[in-house]
Amino acid sequence: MISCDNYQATIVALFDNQAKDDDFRVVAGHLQDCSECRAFCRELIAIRRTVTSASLPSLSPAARQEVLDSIKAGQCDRAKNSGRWLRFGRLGRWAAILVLGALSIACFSLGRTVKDLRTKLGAAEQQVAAIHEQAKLAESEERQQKAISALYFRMAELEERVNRSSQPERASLAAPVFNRSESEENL
Amino acid sequence: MGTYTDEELMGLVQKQDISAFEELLRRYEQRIFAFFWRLSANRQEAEDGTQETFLRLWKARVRYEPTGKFSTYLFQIAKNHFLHERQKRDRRMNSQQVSAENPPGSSGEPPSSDGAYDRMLAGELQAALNEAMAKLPETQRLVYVLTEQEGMSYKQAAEVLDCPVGTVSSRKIEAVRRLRGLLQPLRAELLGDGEH
Repeated sequence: MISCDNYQATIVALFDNQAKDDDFRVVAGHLQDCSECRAFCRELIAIRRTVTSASLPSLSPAARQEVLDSIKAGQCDRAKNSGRWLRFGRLGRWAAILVLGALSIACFSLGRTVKDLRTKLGAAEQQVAAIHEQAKLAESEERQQKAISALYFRMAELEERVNRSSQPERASLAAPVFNRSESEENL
Repeated sequence: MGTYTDEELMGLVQKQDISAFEELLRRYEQRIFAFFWRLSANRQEAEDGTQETFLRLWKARVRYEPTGKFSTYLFQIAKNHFLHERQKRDRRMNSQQVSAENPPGSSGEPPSSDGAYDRMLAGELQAALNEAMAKLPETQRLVYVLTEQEGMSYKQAAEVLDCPVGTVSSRKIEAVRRLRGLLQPLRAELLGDGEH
């Protein structure tokens, strides 16, 4: 059983064009039997008529103009502000150019210094390498010298040993020679 | 400018085109003014609300995205301003320790009760209706004004109010019932007026 409250809610929706066609049929059937809902409908129509028939005042031209004036004034303020920003922008641009110039000069000179330093470093490295080479050569010469000295020493040793080993033989050979000359003298 | 759609005009407004904004103002000033007037029944409040809504629209032009109807967007701004102002006023009234008998919508002073202007303007029934409207809770009043007086669908009202369609429907029914109750003393006049 649908209550009158539900029917009245549907009636409100029907008045606002928010109900379905079926609702209209159902409500129409109910209205034939229910005086309370009929009264509700009549009052709703009367209220609506009062609302729509009311003459509305309109916005005064002065109020309308005030809106436009304040917007235009806002635009002017904005233009002023943007002008100020433009001025600041120009100054900023010059400052940026100066800073960039200074930076590029600094970079250039720094680059040159770095380049010079690199060249010097290369030269120093080459010098160090040459010194290393010379040291190596000197070392190898010294080693050769030592080897030669060792060889000489060895040779001298060998000669001495040879001499030592050949001395008795010489002595034995030398005596008959001495004796022969003595005998030759005696003759 | 007259041939442009609202959304196209808003696109131009985003490019600082004041004449496009003027056209939007011309198209919607009356609806927004009526919206505030129906909510407050006070001319000064309605004018201030209308001005503030359009100024906020101008300020928020950059954030606008043409995803929905422009009117929904504009009414959202208007609704937010209305609720914001009401909150401010309620806080002020609370600090002044206003009697709790006055419902929040009426703020202790029904806008039309000082009435000569309104009564002269819209008649006794209209004044009574305004008075009754002022006694509705804000959420119901907003729904009533948007659907009944602005002719919005429940869906569009739901978008403006940022709530489900079902909530709009239930608030509307509740608003109608309350209004009916508040206007009960004038029932005869109301029906007599309605029937002639």
